[in-house]
Amino acid sequence: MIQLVWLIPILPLIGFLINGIGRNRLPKSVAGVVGSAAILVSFILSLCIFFELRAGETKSFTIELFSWISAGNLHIPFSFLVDPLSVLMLLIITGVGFLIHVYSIGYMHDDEGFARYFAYLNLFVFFMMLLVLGANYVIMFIGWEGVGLCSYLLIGFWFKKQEYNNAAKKAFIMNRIGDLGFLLGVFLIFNTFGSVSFAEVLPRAAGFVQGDTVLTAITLLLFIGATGKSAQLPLYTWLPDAMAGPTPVSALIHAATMVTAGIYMIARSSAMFVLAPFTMDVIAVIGVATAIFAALIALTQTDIKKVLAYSTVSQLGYMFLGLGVGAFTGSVFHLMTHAFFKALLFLGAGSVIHAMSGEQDMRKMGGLKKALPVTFITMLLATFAISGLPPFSGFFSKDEILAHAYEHSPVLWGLGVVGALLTAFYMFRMIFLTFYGGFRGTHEQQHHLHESPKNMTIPLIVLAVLSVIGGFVNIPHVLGGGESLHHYLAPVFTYASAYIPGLTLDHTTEFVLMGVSMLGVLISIFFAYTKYVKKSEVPAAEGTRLPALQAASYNKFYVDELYDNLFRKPLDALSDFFYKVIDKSGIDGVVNGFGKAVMEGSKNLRLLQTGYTGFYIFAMVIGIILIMVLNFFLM
Amino acid sequence: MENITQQIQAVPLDHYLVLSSLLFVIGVMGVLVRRNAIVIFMSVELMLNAVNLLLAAFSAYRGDPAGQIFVFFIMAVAAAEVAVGLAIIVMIYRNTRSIDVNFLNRLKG
Amino acid sequence: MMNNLNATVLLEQITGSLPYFLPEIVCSLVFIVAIFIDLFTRKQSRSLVPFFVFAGLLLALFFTLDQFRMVKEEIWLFNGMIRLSPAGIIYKLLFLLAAMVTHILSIRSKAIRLAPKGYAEFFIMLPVFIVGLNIMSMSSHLLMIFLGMEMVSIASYILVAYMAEQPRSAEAAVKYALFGALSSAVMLYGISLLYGLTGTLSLQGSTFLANLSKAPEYISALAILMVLAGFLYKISAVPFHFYVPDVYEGTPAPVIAFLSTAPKAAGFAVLFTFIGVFTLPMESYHLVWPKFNWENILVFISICTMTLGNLSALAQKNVKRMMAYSSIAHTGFMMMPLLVFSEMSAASLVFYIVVYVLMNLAIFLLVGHMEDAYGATELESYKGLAAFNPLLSVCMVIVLASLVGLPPTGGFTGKFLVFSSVLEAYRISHNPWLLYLLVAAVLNTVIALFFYLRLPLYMYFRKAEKIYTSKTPLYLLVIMCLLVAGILMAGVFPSELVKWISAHTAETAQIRFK
Repeated sequence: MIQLVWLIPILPLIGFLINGIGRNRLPKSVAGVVGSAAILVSFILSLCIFFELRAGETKSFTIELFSWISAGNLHIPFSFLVDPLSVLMLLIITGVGFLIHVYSIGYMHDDEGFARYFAYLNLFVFFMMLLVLGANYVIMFIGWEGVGLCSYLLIGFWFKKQEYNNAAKKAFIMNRIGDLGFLLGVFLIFNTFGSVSFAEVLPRAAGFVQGDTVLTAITLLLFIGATGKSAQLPLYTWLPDAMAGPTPVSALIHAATMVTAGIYMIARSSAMFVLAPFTMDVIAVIGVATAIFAALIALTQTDIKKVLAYSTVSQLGYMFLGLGVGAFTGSVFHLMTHAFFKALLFLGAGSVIHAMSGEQDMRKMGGLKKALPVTFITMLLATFAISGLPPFSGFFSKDEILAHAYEHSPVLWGLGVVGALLTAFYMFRMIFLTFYGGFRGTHEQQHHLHESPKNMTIPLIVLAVLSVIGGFVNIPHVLGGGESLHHYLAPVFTYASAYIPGLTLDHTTEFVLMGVSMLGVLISIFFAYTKYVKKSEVPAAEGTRLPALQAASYNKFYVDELYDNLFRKPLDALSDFFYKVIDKSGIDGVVNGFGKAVMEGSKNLRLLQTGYTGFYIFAMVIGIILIMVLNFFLM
Repeated sequence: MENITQQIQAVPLDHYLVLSSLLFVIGVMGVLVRRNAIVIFMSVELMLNAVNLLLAAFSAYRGDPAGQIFVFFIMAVAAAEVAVGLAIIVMIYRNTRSIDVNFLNRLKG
Repeated sequence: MMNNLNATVLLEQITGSLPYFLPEIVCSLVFIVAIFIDLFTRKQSRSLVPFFVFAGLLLALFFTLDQFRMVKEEIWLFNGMIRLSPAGIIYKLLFLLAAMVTHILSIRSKAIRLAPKGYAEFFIMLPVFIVGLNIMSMSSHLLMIFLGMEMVSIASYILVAYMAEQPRSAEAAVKYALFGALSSAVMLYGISLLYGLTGTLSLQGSTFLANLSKAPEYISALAILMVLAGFLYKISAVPFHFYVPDVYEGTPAPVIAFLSTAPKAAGFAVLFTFIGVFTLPMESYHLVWPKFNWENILVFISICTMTLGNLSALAQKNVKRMMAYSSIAHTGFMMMPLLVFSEMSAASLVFYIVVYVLMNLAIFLLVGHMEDAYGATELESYKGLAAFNPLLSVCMVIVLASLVGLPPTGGFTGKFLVFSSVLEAYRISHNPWLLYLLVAAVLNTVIALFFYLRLPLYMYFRKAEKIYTSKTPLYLLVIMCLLVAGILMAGVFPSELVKWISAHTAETAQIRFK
C-alpha cells in the first residue's frame, strides 16, 4: 500500500485537469463532485497508509518514482518520503480539504467560475501534497512555489475588483521574499552536505557540533522562508489582505494548510535546528512577538474575516514559539488542532457572510444566534477550543507549548499566557458581536437571514466534533494521558530529541501553570461578556472618535471602569497604534519602499537607453575600457 | 613572391604595428565623433584596413600564408557589409531626409 | 611551397569531409537555387520559394539527424578548419528548429507578406543563416568563426531591414548594422593581434595557448578582450547590449523570434569553444590563466547583464521591448555555466540553451500573434485578452512561468542546473566571486517575477475594452502546444533530456580536461 503513495497526489492533479479543461462545459454538479471525490479518495488512501505505517515496524519509507535530474555529481530523484509526520500532514490536508471542498459546493454555488475554482483548489491540494511528501528539499521547494502560485490564483479569484488583485500581488511578493531565503538555505545545504535529500542531510547534520556557524546560517535562511509562507513578523502583512479570496479558500489555504508549511518545514529539519540554539531563540522570540502583536491588532478589527486572519497569524506565532522552545510535537499538535478549529471558524464565518448576503462587518451583524443555530453552536465550540478551555482540543495543544515555554524561560510563558488572554477576548468579542444582541443590519438583510444548506452545515458539524475531541490524541501524562501523538511522531524527531530533553516539570507546577492560564482566559471571557453582551457595546463606526469615559453607574460597573482605564484604553490605543502605524506604514512601508527603490532604479536605468547610436557606441567603448581596467587593477 | 616578402620585412615590424594602431584609433574616433552614417561606415572601413595591414605584416614576418588569406576574406566580407549598410542608409535617407544618426531616436527607453 | 603529394592528401581530406558537411551543402544549394527561382521566374511561381526553402530545411534536418548516427566522437573536417562534435549537432538541431518555426510564422505574418519588395527574399535568407550558424557552432579556427559570424550578421541586417520603408524598422536596421560592423571590426583587430602573438589561427592543439602564454601580458589581454567583444555582442551581454531593445522593438516578431534564439545560441557555442582554450589541463575546475582574469570578469559581466536586463524590463510598457530586456537578462544566466568547467556545466549550458530557445520562440510567437490579431503592442493593450483565446493565454502563462524560472517548467530546471553547477565550482575553488554571482542570480529571479507577471495580470485580471472575435489559427495552436509541451517536459521529466545532452557534451568537456 505504501508503495502506492504516488496515487495520493495524482488524484487531485487529475481532478484539476478534468475541471480545468472542462471548465466551460462541465455542469456545476459534476465539477464539484469530481473535485471533492478526488480529495476523498486521497483521504481514504492516506488513512490506509496511516494504519499500515502504525502497524508496521519500519517507520520511514522513501519511494523513488523516477530520476528527476541527474547531471554530473548532482542526482535528485523525484521521490516521496512516507513517515509519521508526512502521513499526519496528509491526513490533515485531505481530511480538512475534503470537508472544505464539500462546503465549497454550497458556498460557491452561484459563482460563474465554479469549475475554475475547483480546478485551482485541486491544484492547490496537489502542490501541498508535493510539499509534505517530497523526500528532498527540491521537491519540497516545488510544492512550496506551487502552493504560492495557487494561493495567488485563489486570492485573486474574484478578479473583477482591483483591490483583490493588489492583495493577490502582495501575497505573492511577500512569499517570494521568504522563498528567497528558503532557496539560499537550500543552496547552502547542498554546499555543506553535498545533497538535498532529508535522508542524507539530517543524519549528516547530526554529526555537527551544537552552535555551528554554517548550520546557524542554514537554519536562519530556512526560517526566513518560513516567515514568508507562515506569515510571521515581519512578512505577515499579506495574510490579512489575502482575505479578499473566497472564504473556503481562507479556511483551506490561509488557516489549515499552506500557512503551516513553514512549521512543517522546520519540524522536518528539526535535526538541524536543534544544533543552532541561536536560531531557536530567534524563532521563539519572533513567534511569541507575532502571537501577541497579531492578537493586539485583532482586538479592534471589525471585519469578521480580518479578526480570524489576525488570529491565524497569532496562532501560527504560537506554533513557532513551540518550535523555538523545542516542543516539536507540541507545535505539530497545535498545527493539527488549529487546522480543525480555525477551518471551522472560517467556514462558520463564511456561513454568516453567506446569510448576510456578503456583509463582513460585525457592526452590522448581531443576534444571529436564532437564525443560524448550527453555525452559532459550531463556532462557539471552535471558540472554546481556540481559547484553550478544557477539554477542547486547543487546550491540550496550547498547554503543551506553554509548558515547554515555561521550562525554557518563564518570560516566554508569561507572554504566551498574555497572548492566550487576548485570544480569548477577541474571539468572544467576535462571537458576542455576531451572534448576541439585536440585529444591526438592514431590513433587507434581516429578511434574507437563513441557515446555510446541508452541504455547508455538515462540514461544520464534523469539524466541530474534531475541534472538541481532537485534543485527546495527545493527553499529557499529568492528566493521566498516554501522549499517543508524541510516541507516534517520535521516529521523526530522533535526532532532535538528543538535544531537547523531555518535560521535567513536576506535576504541581504543571497544574499551577494550567490553572493560571485557564483562570486568565475565563476572566477575559467575562470581560468580553460584560462589555459586548451586558453593555451591548458596538465598536464605533469608522471616522467617529471613541466616546469619552461614559458617566456610567459607579457601583455597578466598577470592574468595568477599572478595566476600561487600566486595560482597555491602553490596549485599544496600542492595538490602534500597531495596526495604523506599524502595520500599515511601518512594515508595509518598508516593503513598498523597497519596491519603490527598485522601480526608481529601473526608471533611471531606462534613461541609459537614450536611443542615440553615438551614445551607444561611446558606452560600448567605455565598457571595454572599464573591463580592461578591472582585469588589471581590481581583481 | 620572395622579393615582396623581403621588401615588407625591410621595414621593422614595430612600424607596421604603430601605423595600424593609429589607423585603428582614427577609425574608432571617427565612429565616436562623426554623426554622418556614411562617414561612420567609412571609419569602420578604416578600422578594417588597420586589421588587414596588421595581418599582412604578421603573415610576411612569420612566413605563414594564413594571415594573407584572412585578409582576402575580410575584404570580401567588408564589401558585403558595406553593400547592406549603404542600402540601409538609403532607406534612412528616404525616411528622414537625413543621414545624421542622431536624428534616429524614435526607439529608446 | 607544397609538393604534389601534399596536395593530394589535402584534396582527399576535403572529399572525405564532404559527407559530414551535407546539411550545410544542402542549405547553400537551396540558397542559390532559390535566388534563381526568385530572379528568373514570373511572379506567380515566386510563391513557390517559401515551399522550396522549407523543403530544403527539411532535407537539412534529415541530414543533421543522420549525423547523430554518423558522429560518435569529435571529428575534424577540412584539415582542422571545422570540428564536428556531438554537442555541435544539438546546436545545429536547435538552429533548424528555430528556422522552421520562424518560417511557418513568417508565411502567415501580415508584416512580411505585405512587404513591398515581396516576401520571397525573406525566406531565402533562412538557409544562409543555417550555414553561418552551423559553421559558428562547429568551428575552432578563428577564420571560420569570423566567417560564420559575419554570415549570420549580414543575414540579420537584411532581415531587420526588410521592412525598412517604415521609419522604425529602418532605424532598428541602421543601429543594428552600425553596432555590428563596429564590434566585428574590434573583434578582427583582436584576432589579428592574436595571430601576431601566436602565429596560428587555429584554436585546436596546444600551440595557440603555449605561444600566447609567452606574449606580453597587456597585449595578450587586450587582444583577448577585443575578440571577446565580438562574441559578447553576439550574445548581447552588457555593455554590448544597447542595440537589442531598439532592434527588437522595431522588428516584426517572427524575425525577433529567430534573432533572439539561434544566433545567441551559436554565440554561446563559439564562446564556449574560445574560453575552453584557456582552461588549464584539468585538476582545477575553474578558469585559471595568469594573463587574463577570466572567471572574475565573466562573473562581473554576467551580474551586470542579468541585473540590467531585469531592472530595465521592470519599467517597460512595450511588450516586445520588455522581452528584449528579458532576453538580455537570460544571457546573464546563460553565462553562468560558461565560467565553470565541468561536465555538469557543459550539460547545463546546453540544457539551458535548449529551454531558452523553446521559451523565446514561444513568447515571440505569442507576442506576434497578439500584435497581428488584436493590435496589442503595449502592456495596456493586453487588458483582458485572456477571455478571447483561453488556450493561448494558458500557454502564455506557462511560458512566462518558465521564463521566470518557476517549477514545474523547463525554466526552473535550467536555472536549477546552472545554479548547481556554479555552486559545485564554488565548493571546489572557493572563489568568492562565484558566491556573489549566485546571490545576484537568485535575487534576479525574484525581480524577474515582477515584470513577467504583469502580462498575465493584464490579460486575466483586467477587463478588455473591446470585444474581439478573431479566431486563433490552427497551425499556431499546434506549434504553441508543441513548444509548451517541450517546456513542461523539460521541467517535469528533465532526466532523460539531461542524460541525452550529457552523453553528447561529455566528450567535449573531457577532451578539455585531458
